[in-house]
Amino acid sequence: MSDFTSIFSRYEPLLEDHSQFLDVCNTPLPYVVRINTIKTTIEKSIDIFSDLSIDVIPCKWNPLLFQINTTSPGNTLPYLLGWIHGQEEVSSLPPLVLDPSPGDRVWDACASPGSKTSQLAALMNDMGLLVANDSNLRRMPALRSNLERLGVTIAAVTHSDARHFSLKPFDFTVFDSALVDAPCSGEGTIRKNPSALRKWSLEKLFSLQKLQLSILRRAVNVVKSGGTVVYSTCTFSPEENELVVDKILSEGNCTLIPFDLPILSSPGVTEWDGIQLDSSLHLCKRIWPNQNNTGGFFIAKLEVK
Amino acid sequence: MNSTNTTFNLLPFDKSHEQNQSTITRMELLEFWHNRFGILPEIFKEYTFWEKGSGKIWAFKGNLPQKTEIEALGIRFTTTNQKNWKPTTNAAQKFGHHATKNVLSLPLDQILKFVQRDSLYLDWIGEPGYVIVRGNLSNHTMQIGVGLYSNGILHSQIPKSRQLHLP
Repeated sequence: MSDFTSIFSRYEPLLEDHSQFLDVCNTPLPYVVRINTIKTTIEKSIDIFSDLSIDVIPCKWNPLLFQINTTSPGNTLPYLLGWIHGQEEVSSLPPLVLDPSPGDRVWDACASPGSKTSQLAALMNDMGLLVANDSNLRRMPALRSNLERLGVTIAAVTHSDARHFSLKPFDFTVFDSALVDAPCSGEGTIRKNPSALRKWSLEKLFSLQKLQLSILRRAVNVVKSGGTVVYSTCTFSPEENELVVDKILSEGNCTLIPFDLPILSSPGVTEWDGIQLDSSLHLCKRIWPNQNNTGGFFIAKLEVK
Repeated sequence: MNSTNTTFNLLPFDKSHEQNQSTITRMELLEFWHNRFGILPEIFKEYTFWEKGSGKIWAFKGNLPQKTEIEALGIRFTTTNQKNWKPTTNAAQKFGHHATKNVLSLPLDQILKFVQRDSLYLDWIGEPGYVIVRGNLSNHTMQIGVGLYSNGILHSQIPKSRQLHLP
C-alpha cells in the first residue's frame, strides 16, 4: 500500500470503517463523462455512443453522467462535438448544490479547467452571466477552450487573484451567487492521482487554509444579501474544510444552510484536534470514497447576510 | 488606440458609430452569416459581438460595457481579417443548425475522416468557399465544423488542437 495510508491515519476517528476507506483509496476510479445539455440531449448522446461502439454505463444517481469504457474520452467524436466532458461524479455535486437559475449572475472564483463552470452554464440554460475566474495563467487555455467547445456563450473569463477579485470590468456590483471550488491539497483525488500527496505536509494545509479563507471571504463580499456561496474542496483535511468555514462564520457575514445530496455523505465535523468548532458545521457534507465508490469531496452551502 | 491584448470592443450596430474602434459592424457581420449560410439576423438577437485584436470576432450572450478588459467573452465566432470571412468551428457547432445554404451533410465514414483533418473528394457541386459541415447518425443531425470547399474537394478546417486520432 502506498504512503498515503500513514497520512490518512489522522482521519481514523472520523470514519466508521477506516480499513475499507483505505482499500477504496487504493483502487483506480473509472472514467466518467457528463452530457452537455447546452449542445445535446441524453437520448442523442446514447444513440451516438451506440453507433460509435463506445461502451457506457449510466450513473445511478445522475442521468447526465456515464462511465465510459475508454482511456481517452477526449479522442472521441462526442467530445469534439462538445456533447460530453470528462468530469468525476463527485465533482458534479457543487454546481447542483449551488443550483443557479437561468438569468442569474454567478461568480466561479477558481474556474479552471471549466468542468464545474460549464455545468453551471448548463444548469442556467446558457442564460445569464457567468464570470469564470482563475489566477493561474497556465490553466487559462484549458478553461477557455473547454467553455468554447461546450458552447458556453454566457461566460466572461477573467484572470485574477480571486482574493482580490475586482468587479471593475463589469457594470454591476454584486453577484446572485458564487462557487468557491478552492485550491486544496487534493487528498480526495488519490484514486485518480496516486502521487497527489507527494508534497503533503501540515504546513501546506495551513498555508492553503489562509488562501481558501481569503477567497471565500471575497466571495461572501461580492454576493448579494440573501445570495448563496458554495464552498467545496476535493480534500479530507478539516483544516481546509470545516476550519475554513468556521472562520468565515465567525466573521458574521454569512450562515450555513442545509442541503440534500443524491448520494451518501457524512455531516461536517464540529470538533477537530481538540478544538470545538461552530455547531452548525454539521450542515456541511463530507463525501468519503468508500461511501459511493467515488473520489472524496467536501461541500458547504452558505447564505450571505 | 489604448487597447491592450485583453480589450474587447463591442461591434457598433452600423457605420454611423464612428467613434468605435472596431473594424467591422454588427450589420456587416450578420449580413455575412445571412448571405453565406442563410441564417437570419434575428437568430442572433440575444448576442453581442466583440472584436479582440484585428478581425477576431467573438459572440457573447449578454451585455457588458462597450470596451471591456477581459480574457475571453463567449465564443470565438468569425475571423474577418482575411478576404473570405471564416466561421469558427465552435460557431458552426453552435449555430450551424440554422443554416440553409452552403451546408454539406456527410455520412459516418466521411465524418471520421473530416474530424482527422483529412481532405475529402466529393461528388458534390457547390459554391466555392467556407461551408458548414454536418453529419447524420441514428437520425440525429450533428453540427461538426467548417470546411473549405473548392473544385470537388472539401478541406477540413477542424483546428489541429481539436483533431481526432482514430485507430
